Amino acid sequence: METRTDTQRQMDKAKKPQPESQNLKGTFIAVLLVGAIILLSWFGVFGLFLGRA
Amino acid sequence: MHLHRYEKIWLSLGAGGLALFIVLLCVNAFAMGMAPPSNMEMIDPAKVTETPPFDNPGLKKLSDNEYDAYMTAFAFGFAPNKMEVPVGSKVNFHVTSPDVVHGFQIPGTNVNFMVMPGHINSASYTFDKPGEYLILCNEYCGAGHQVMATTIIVK
Amino acid sequence: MNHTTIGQAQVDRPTARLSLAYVWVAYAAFGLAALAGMLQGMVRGGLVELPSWTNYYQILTAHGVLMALIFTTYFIIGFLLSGVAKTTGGSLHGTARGLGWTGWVLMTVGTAMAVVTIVTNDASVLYTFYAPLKASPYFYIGAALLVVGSWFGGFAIFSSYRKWRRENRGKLSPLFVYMSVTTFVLWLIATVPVAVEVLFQLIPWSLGWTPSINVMLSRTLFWFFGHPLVYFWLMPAYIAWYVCVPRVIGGHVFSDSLARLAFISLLLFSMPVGFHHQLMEPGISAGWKMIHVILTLIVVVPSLMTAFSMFATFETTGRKKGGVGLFGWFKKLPWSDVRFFAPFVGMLFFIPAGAGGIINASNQMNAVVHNTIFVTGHFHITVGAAVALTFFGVSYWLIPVLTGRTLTRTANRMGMVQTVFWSVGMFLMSFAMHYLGLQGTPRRTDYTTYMDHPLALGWMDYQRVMAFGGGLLFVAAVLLILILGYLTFYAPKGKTEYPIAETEAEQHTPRILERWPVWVGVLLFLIVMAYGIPIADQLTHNPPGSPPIRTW
Repeated sequence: METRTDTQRQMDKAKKPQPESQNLKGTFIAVLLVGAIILLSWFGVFGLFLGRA
Repeated sequence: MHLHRYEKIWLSLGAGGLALFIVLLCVNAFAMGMAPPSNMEMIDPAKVTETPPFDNPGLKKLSDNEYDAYMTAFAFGFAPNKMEVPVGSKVNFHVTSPDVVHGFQIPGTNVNFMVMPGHINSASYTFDKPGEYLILCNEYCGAGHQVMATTIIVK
Repeated sequence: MNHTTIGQAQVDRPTARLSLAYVWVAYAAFGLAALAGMLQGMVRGGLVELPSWTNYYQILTAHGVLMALIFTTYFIIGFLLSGVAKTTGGSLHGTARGLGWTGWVLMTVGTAMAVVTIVTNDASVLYTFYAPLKASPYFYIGAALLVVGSWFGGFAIFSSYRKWRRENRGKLSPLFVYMSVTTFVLWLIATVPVAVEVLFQLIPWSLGWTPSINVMLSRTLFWFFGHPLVYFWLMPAYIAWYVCVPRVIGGHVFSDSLARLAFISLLLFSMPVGFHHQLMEPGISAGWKMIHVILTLIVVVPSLMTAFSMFATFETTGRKKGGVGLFGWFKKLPWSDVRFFAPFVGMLFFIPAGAGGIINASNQMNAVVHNTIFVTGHFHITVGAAVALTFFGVSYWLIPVLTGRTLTRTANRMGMVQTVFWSVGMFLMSFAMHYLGLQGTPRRTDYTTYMDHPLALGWMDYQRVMAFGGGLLFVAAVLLILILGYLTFYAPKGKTEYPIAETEAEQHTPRILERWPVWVGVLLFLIVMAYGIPIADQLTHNPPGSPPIRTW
């Protein structure tokens, strides 16, 4: 049962496109926004630290 | 292992950003002398009240604008209870505890460190603005933790 | 690509009973902890005063222990056992179930002991139990039983994994199983130092067998455990994000090998980093602190990978459903399905949570936020929002799977309302906490104005915002328990899918990712590098120890 589904699954998968062709522009912009949030908040607190020294 | 081109860029940027943080922190800590309070001095916690200079907590004047403040943090207060320094003074705080772990924090400044029995911890701050600065304990130390505070007056 | 055979049990009855026993202890603890948390908020906001038979620090201890240690650990074991069963054929074999029940009994005895000592006010030491505050020995013994019991949960997972590998030689393990094993390898190694602290330092000292305790060493052992602890909370949420959420939205695992790589990185780099919790302490040199800070920032990378994988899963799924343009895919996600919505909001919370975590760990910058309520705000959006919302989202399908019932449309809608209440409450409370923390407001402190100091008086408005947020959170907690009670006992019988996603296409996962001796070896090497010298130093070069003290 297990093996049969597995073989079947592999056959199905072989026909599918590789992730290479995926359009991930939105993902890229989204993670860049995440990066911007990290940078801004880090430099904000670093500024607070330097200002309070 | 397959990595999408965008993911390669994202991870490189991320790792680069983290590396930048590390470089800035290292330069600031070690070249500019702003490493976190890491005093390695030790003391017998049972004998704090008889060990100089903690047997007589208070301000010791080093020069016109520099003081050493030897303090004890205990459940639930600080000694000395009141301190006063002129505007522009640099105060080097040296604090230890005869009982449990306490905190030592002056809100609005970078003075914020742990006070542990058996250890002396230190930090310095230059008080450029006049006022009554709050010093509080920020580590839970028991039923009266919320009243454990004092002030330093800067005139 | 759904290979779930309809009609075949998702998780068989005996395993479901075990898993449900864990999940329900988790939510019992959660309910009590939520009540305690709401009261703390009200007290700090100056809105209520506690009756004389209790005090702020007692309920704070109850909140921390029940929420951070009991709720999380029980839920995690219950969830992972069910998922391992599901992905290895639908059941746990007898040995694994026996181990699971042994762990449940040990943990429950330990929990009961700890709770009794907290109720009698003999353990108001908060969930970090820092020496030389001394709780009742039964509190520490309870904690030890809880930890040892949780190991049995791990042994149950390892036992199922070994059985699966014996029966499927040469095959790659299911992703859910691999991630569960990684989580418990982390847990077993990370709990060793705290077990040493409790068994060899705290218990003998609290019983009066040893006169004093090495305070520095106890803290180092605690935080050696304390940071991987937060990853032990986070990794099961990541499992739900990587494996379950993609299936809920009708998508696929973005990359099997990257998911595994992220987990191995979390295992390796969450451990040798404990000093970033001790940055403001004396007795640890600035150099060693910096080494731990650098290792801490490395553990950010697997979370950056996770962020990419999540968005990529959403984008590829949304595009397949017809989403066009840069962000058209976003609208195609199942926004009215609580099984997606709750963990998704959790992911959003994890963005500022991660940013705050990097700030906390940034060496000298920690002086701005150390022991301020910023830290409390931080872990309320990590474990209290990102992790908790994910666990809620999981519970909405897991409990029906385990009880053979269904998540009805109404229950789903109530779940959405619950998620909104929790999220808004958490947002208000944690925003106020972050803001106040940057002003220097301390954490873990009863209502106080510091003798009417103007600075402290100025904090009060935001402390009331915290209280309001806490009130919303409590409403959400009550609602959650009502919904989960309905799903356990009353919801209509029926088949509910255990969502397990697969990769879309054949992917080549490097086999080295499953060579455990290699990774455990690397991990032990990193631990020795990061802790060997400092711990040797703390053992040999230490001040006279501290006697037990009770200050409450």
